Amino acid sequence: MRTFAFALCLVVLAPTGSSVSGQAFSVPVVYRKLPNGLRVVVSENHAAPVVVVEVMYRIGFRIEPRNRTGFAHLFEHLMFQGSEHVGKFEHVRIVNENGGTLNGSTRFDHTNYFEVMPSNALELAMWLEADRMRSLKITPENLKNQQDVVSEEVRVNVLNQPYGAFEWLGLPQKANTNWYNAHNFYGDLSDLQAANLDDVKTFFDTYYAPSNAVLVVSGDTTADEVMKLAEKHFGGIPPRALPPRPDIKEPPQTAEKSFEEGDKLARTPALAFGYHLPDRMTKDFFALTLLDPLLVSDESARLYQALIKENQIASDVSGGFNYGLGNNFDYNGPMLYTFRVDYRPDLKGPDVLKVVDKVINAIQEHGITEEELKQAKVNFRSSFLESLESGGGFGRADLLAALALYDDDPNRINTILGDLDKVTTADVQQAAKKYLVPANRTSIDRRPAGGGQ
Amino acid sequence: MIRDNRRSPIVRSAILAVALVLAATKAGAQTERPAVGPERPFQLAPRVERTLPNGLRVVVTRQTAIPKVSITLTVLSGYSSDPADLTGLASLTADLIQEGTKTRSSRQIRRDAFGMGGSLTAAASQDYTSISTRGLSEFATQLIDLVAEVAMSPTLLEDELAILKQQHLQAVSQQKASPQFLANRTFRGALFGSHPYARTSETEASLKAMDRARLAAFHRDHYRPNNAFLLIVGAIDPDAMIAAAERAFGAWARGDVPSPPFAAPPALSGRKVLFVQRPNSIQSSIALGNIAVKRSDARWYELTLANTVYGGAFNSRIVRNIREEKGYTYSPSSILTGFADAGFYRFAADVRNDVTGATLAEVFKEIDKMRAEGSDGSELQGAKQYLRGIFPIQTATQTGLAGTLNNVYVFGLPKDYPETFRAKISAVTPAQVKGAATTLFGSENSVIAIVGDWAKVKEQLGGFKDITFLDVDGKTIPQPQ
Repeated sequence: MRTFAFALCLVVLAPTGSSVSGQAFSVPVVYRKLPNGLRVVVSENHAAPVVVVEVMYRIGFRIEPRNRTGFAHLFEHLMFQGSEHVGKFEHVRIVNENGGTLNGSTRFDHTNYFEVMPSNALELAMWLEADRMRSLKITPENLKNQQDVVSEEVRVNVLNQPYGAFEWLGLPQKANTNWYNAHNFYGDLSDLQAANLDDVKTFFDTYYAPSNAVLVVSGDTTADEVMKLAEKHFGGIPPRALPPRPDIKEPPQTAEKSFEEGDKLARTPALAFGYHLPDRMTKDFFALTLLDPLLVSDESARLYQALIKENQIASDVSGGFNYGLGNNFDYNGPMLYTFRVDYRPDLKGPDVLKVVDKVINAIQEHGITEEELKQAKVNFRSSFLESLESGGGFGRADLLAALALYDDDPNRINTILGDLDKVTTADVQQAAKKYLVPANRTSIDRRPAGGGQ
Repeated sequence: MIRDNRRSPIVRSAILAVALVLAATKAGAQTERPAVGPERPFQLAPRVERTLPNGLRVVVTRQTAIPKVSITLTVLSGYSSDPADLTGLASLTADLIQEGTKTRSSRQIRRDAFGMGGSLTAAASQDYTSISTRGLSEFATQLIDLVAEVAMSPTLLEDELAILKQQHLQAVSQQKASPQFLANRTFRGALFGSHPYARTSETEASLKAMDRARLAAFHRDHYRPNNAFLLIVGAIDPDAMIAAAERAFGAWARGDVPSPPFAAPPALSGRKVLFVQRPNSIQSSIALGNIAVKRSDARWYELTLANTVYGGAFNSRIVRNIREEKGYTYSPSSILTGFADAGFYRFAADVRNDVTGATLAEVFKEIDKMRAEGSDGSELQGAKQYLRGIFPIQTATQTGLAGTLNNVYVFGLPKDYPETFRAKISAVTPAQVKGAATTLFGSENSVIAIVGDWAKVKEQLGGFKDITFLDVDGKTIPQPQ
């Protein structure tokens, strides 16, 4: 739980689909906006005396300052370093000592902060979130302390690890061309160290405005209670104008890109490759969402079977949208469909891609069966339900937050499965033909380079 | 180095040592910290328990938060039942049973689970092997049948075994590149000596020595109803589940199951350092600690509280010290682990090379403080409230509840453990916590595993006299240069 981190602590929504019974299950949603622009979502759930309080800000690492790689994530750490009425690390102490857990994480397009608390501590958690939204307070010592902590985080998760997070941190830097999508978002250590209090103030003033955020409360409470408390604690935070959003569009890729990297720490090779995805919530997006479990995200999937069972050239295969950093829904910009294959040391990356292309070509030529599609829909539905429960109910709050922030429609949580249900086998075949092609692909072949032997 | 630049006095003096208040305004600020209301009632649904004539215990509880179900068959044999030269036998057996039964192929098993909204997993751990599936509750009966078929009548195919061995061999090679894996393996090996809990992973040699006959024998000897329990948690009707379990598992035959060869762990004397030389390391990965108690020990509550205060929660002494004050590390933590026959305490962190010695000094300083003073007052109250509060959070989901109940049955905890946990935590006294600290923390008698680059840290470790050097394969080597 102490991963103030990327990816590793997150909710991965696998593929799914509906179409079977049990469909009556729906998530209660109440949605309002305060006069200062803060979005508020409430979802009642009285299964346990537990409540989740989450604030998600629409600022992620994608659009962090150009000379300050890793700054959005460093800033996330600073949000635990004190505000006007809460001292350094007191946020953590107060939450733990009242029976709760907490975390924060930085993603492509947002940063989230949350507490999972006994429901009698609801107002306390809301007060804590409001105080830092209103009055973050950072000293030079605390900034320095977290620069050190984050540098250690980058070392432990990237620089001192075999493979160096190449599939989720490295691949976007190679596949994309627009700086916003293609920089080192965990941060160069020198950039992290260069950050100063002016950077902190500017970033906070620019992006941590109520109109750039959503407050979600889910669990053992009522909409009336939450709305009253939201007014009381967040209503007085003044509105601020938001800057125009930069152009994060990614020009279409027209030719395959392949890279080879030496790895001083790894002992066996691995291949990562990714395809640029269609826009979120489009017809092709839903089709590929259902293809994913049939292609890679399950041990029954075609790639898993082909690489591990039939050809016996790999020891592990995995993949997904927003891989390692989120799920199919919690981003809002150019995104990759990423795969990682740990393969046999006597082979090379192209040997793996040959098998991959054979599997994908078969789908492009013959499509998938009705039975496969039906099963994918059942499985996605099940995974979707699972994701709502993850983290003691955090998954439900986090998805509602993303849907409020990016779609202005948290009720979308109850219609996503319906959209997936409309997908046909022809849609899947069409989307595979259009997107899963070599010209739309970037790969990194990560080879052992001595040191780990 | 980098760190020195950041410590530059020029940088520091350029920023006034006053807080920068990023206040939009104070208008409307709620300055008063809100009080916490009275605790709301927390109650788990009753559990239905039945023992089948063949000895299989079936435990079912209804939890309807989402229309899903968790089904777990736990066989009470794990790594500890591996012969010493066949580490990984339980684990490989668990993998192979999923690769085919008399009526379903490997892929069909996966596909059937997939189509019911789930997946099947089987995995061995120290004391047990779990075969579990999770899917939509409307398929609960078929999912029980699938688990029963895999557990009772796997075909254990040679071809599938060959594929699995290849996968495992590659994983074994990869693990040696992970500093956290090496630190834990080294720590556990030194701590438990010839006790089976010393073995945390298979080796190239043990994998090569395994064949179908050994796996089949393990399956025959250990996968028996009188050595297992079935736990079902979800949006289901308990009576219907019991009936389905009787149908699916009724024909499973009893057997005499051998007990694991438990031996006493070695007695520790002094601070024993095991240094794994990993050239190119830019951090030291540290795992240190000592033998503690088994999971069913009555002192578990007070030990857990002592650990929570020390390093078991984010708000804990070691996190405040070496992360929030000193910035040595991102991820310090300590954990109390209890198995069936013994347990251990372990602190772990990854720290940059130049603070390796300083980190060890702080870790032992905080340990000695806990041993000397224990904890009381608001700190202890906070730790109690933390453990009380997270219990309902952990059991609010089907998977969380299944995990808690699994511990009850694996380790023979009192049946009312979930109902009484919070009251027992509340009843612990400061004197008990202080006593627990001396049990929990070895301090002067500890195992310290460090994975790093000796040349970069050797000058910081002069205070340790008993240092053994190892390579990533675990072989003893001369002191590196």
